Amino acid sequence: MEFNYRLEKTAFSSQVLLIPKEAPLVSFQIWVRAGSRYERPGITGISHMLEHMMFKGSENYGPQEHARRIQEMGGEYNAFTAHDKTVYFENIAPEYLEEVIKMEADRFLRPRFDPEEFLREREVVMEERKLRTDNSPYGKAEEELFSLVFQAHPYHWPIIGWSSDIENFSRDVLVEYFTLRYTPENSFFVLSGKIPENALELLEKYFGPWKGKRPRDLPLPEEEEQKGPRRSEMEMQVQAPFVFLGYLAPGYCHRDFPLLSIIDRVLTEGESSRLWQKLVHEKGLASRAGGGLYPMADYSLFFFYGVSAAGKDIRALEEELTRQVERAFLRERELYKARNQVLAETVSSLERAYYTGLSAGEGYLNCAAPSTFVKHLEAIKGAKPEDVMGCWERILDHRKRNIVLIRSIK
Amino acid sequence: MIFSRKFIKRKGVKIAIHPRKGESFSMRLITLGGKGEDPRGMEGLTGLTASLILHGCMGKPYSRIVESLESTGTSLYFSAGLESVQASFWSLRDFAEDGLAILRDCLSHPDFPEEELEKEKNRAISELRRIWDEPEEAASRIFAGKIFPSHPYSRLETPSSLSRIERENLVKRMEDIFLASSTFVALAGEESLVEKALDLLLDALKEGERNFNIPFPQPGPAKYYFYLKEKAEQVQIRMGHPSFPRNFPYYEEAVLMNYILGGGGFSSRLMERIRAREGLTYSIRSSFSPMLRAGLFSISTFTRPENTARAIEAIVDEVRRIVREGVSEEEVEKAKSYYIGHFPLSLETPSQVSSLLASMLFYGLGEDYPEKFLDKMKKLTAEKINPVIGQVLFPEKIITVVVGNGEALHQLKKIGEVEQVLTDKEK
Repeated sequence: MEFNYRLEKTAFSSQVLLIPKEAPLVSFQIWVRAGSRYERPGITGISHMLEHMMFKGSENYGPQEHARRIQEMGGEYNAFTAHDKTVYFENIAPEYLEEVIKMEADRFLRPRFDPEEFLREREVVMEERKLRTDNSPYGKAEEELFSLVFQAHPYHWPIIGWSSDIENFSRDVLVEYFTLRYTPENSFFVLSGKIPENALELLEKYFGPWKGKRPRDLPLPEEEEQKGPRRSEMEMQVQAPFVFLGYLAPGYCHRDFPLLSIIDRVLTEGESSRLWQKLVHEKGLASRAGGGLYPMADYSLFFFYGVSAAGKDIRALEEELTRQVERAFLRERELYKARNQVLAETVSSLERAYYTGLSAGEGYLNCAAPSTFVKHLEAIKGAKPEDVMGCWERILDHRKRNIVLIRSIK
Repeated sequence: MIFSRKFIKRKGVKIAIHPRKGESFSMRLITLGGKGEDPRGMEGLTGLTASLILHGCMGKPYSRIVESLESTGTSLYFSAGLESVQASFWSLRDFAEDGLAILRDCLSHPDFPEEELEKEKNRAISELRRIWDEPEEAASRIFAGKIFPSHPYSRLETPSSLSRIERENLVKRMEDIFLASSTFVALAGEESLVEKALDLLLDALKEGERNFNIPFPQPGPAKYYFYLKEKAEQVQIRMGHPSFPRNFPYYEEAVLMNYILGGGGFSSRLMERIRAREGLTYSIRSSFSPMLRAGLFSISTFTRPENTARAIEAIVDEVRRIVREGVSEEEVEKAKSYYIGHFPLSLETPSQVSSLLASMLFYGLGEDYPEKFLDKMKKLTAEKINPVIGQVLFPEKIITVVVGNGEALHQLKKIGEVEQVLTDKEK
């Protein structure tokens, strides 16, 4: 597996991760340690709101002008907020890198946060929340599952924030949060693909005056050991009732993470996976079934779901889903399959400069090691069945089960 | 040339090859004949045929077939569109031959076991029920069913049409598609592998060519459709009408115009007016979807229930305005700049290249299409685009689909006569 990178430090104290590779473009990414884990009740969702406001103009660019310029270059741009990070990116032809860095520096060093734009954008975020959560039974169930699994840690609240918090955001709080978190020491750059030789000089030139320390974050609470199953049932306007199942799992850098990835592939990946074969194909209890391992820094969420098939009982589906998930056993051929699946995914993501940058950035952010995803692959190749089994029994334990069940309104 | 490629014809099959060193192998196969040909009362036939190809072949059961493919990290799936059935294949280089051998077996000798058909029918019926739970999916489904009035492309599968389908229908449908002279293959990977892949694939295709005689759908009068979701806090809106097919001589003109209208994200007029100026939505986009025998113009957005009428009227207003006033030279320059810059960036991976090559073959765009496309784009001006707009946009013939609560219905009734849609369960 070929993965080469270089790590540099700028004079203004940001780290730069350079991943040169053959590509028609360069992916320029800025990773900021700002995400829902750094929020507190009352301002949940502020990281995401701030991400929106970063597109609303800076000293030398009007609202959305940044986005429009990238489009004129034929490039792709966007940003996303997650639990542990906010990432801004542009995928562009290398000759435009200087202009992109110049624009990024303008909004990171001199954002406007125009008060009127702020009020309008707050409405837009409310609509986004309705689209993804309030108006979507699956979005609502996901939100509920996180809240059930994480009772003490900030992963408890949604990235987009609670509705009442969004409604009450003030511009002052947003500026305060920005000043604290958007600093050179608290951010790093990723360049992946066809990187111009003068990339570092360009960063020094435009980001040079950027100042600020890494904030001293207070320690976060740890989750107490779960002593018995938790459940939440909701009635919604659905024709197909469904069930979500979640377990607390260790974070992305933990040595068990690769082992959990194996279990994830065995249970959920593709139509040969156990959940699809048992719940959908053999028993016909579900019209679809699957899940995934949602990686974060402090913990991960191991989740599974099943959507009931027409005329089938949701309780029977729930029972079979939990039975399949909590039954720890591993066949040799399943281990072989999981290894190849992860290998194929890694090769596939290395075909794109953007995804390569994301994979490496994830490792650097959480584990201070850009090649973590390659190390995970190596760990999966060398994994022993008994280690996987041990992990399975510890994590997917019936006492640590969290269930969200969505029923039709009677 | 933007990327290396060669074209050959073997056993009647038109083939495009993108030789490329790397760890993966990618292939697209498209055959003429899709869901738009399903007989009346048996809608869903082509879709079921496509999804059941891997559910048993040469006596090997479905579970073993998917196990063999997925054991090597190979991805292979069949999908049915209105005019074609497509097989998409991606694998690690070292496992490509194993995967392609499975593809060959299933293409040439699908078993279509009765039991699998029953299971897949039940699953499809369940999925039809689930669609109504997500407002976005519900709106898109209603729109697909209304956009081509009294045309086969808008006849959708229903629980009753699916339950009518028998094994013999699948067998017959399978005999009718995947004919060599109506099939197109694009491959990206190492040349030695490409040769082996072709040997395997061409083996599986029957000789012959098929007719494809679908009448061209025409736009009808403007209409409003509504589906009630009482608890919905947000309204999903889909609007559009039939438009030009892929061989339309002014395709590039229309594409550029659409970028300006609603395809160009924050650079578009719809985004500027509906999101930025009026704050009615988080996102809005418009697009053209040209096919062989039909085409479609569509707009998709969402808003608050109380803003339903205002949003729809503002959208129609923008469509009317672009037809009436045309586009400016400045807007055209920005749109051109996007397409000219973006095109090479969108060809980074073998899958992206094979996908482009496959559609070049299917729509008969010519071997030098990528260069011609860029060349034509460079030469376009507002003067060339403006006369085309009235040929592709018909603001008085827009079909509008709304999914929302009682307030949204009340709003929609202010604009025009509304037909309420019921799900199969509600009928």
